[in-house]
Amino acid sequence: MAIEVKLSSSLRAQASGYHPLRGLKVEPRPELTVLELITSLGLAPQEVKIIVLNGQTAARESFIKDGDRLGLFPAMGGG
Amino acid sequence: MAESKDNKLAGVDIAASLQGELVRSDRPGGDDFFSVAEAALARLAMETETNLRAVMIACLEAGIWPERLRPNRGSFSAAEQARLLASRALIVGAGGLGGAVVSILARMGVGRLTVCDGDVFEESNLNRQALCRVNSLGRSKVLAAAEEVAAINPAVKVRAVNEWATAGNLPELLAGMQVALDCLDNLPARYMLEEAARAAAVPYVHAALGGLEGFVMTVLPADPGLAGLYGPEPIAKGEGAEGRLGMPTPTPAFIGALQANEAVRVILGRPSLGGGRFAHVDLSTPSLEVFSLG
Repeated sequence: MAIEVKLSSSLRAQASGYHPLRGLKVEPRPELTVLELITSLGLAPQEVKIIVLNGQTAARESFIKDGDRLGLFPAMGGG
Repeated sequence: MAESKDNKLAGVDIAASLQGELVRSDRPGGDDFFSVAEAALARLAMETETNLRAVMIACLEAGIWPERLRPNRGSFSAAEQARLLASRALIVGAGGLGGAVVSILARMGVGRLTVCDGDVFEESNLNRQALCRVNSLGRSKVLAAAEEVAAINPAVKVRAVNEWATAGNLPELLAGMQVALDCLDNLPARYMLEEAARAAAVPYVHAALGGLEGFVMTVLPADPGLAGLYGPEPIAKGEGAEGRLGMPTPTPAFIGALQANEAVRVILGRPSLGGGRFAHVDLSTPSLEVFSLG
């Protein structure tokens, strides 16, 4: 098992080799937070505006564990 | 008032008035129904000194489908279609999303549309804004919207408000609306619309995009809304994903269709993306997922 991480739009360019269909598989250490994961992936934390953990928005202080699905999104304002 | 005009049809036997004009569709399982062409409806509107919209509503209440709306039958009941024709929607922004939404709601037969935007078309709108044509460059977006609606569906009444939406004019624009649509192009303006919609107790449908992705969220007055999605403070115009990835051609058409569909569902009281849920669309993979606000 691992954490499945999907990155949205402009965040993808920040993680080298990211593939939108496959996403990323991350082996978590105990008590890993979303913010620590964001930093370890090389993403700029201030650009991650929406965190979706197992289908529900979550805070960056949330703990993540094996088997979780995490989506990270920037803000979008275009129309 | 349109309402007093509608009343002129109250005692009219619609089926008898349109006798000889009704076309019967024989359907399997006893699901036969009648439809009627727009020319006959226009004539009846003149005879009764009403208007096309009022006549269409009266027809649908009698179970007769205006021919132009007949393909909506099956997915929408005659009563629902009549309700759409009697409804009011406010469209804030007449650009990429707004252009898609205006045309869909007009074809759908949402009876009264108010479109608000103080902008004029420029060349960089041509890639994605359905109302923008070469000969409309430099012209008002809302006037183009009014012309488009008139050309698509003359039964729909349009109020074109050639102003930017502000905290000052939004209360008046929202009054009496069944739904509002956030077709703006920046988050600060979207937060302002949400505050006004909440104060007016009008449900609204948020949509925003960047690159080949976008969000759609229906916000009912008690829902967490934009703060639940993007946080308490909006980021400045152009600082979202759209600043880097642009606003390519297919995205507003797709997101706008989803947004207009949500508005129709709100009007009809059907299940929608309200109640703290939002859809994320990614046209690159492609995928559509619905998430909840935690």
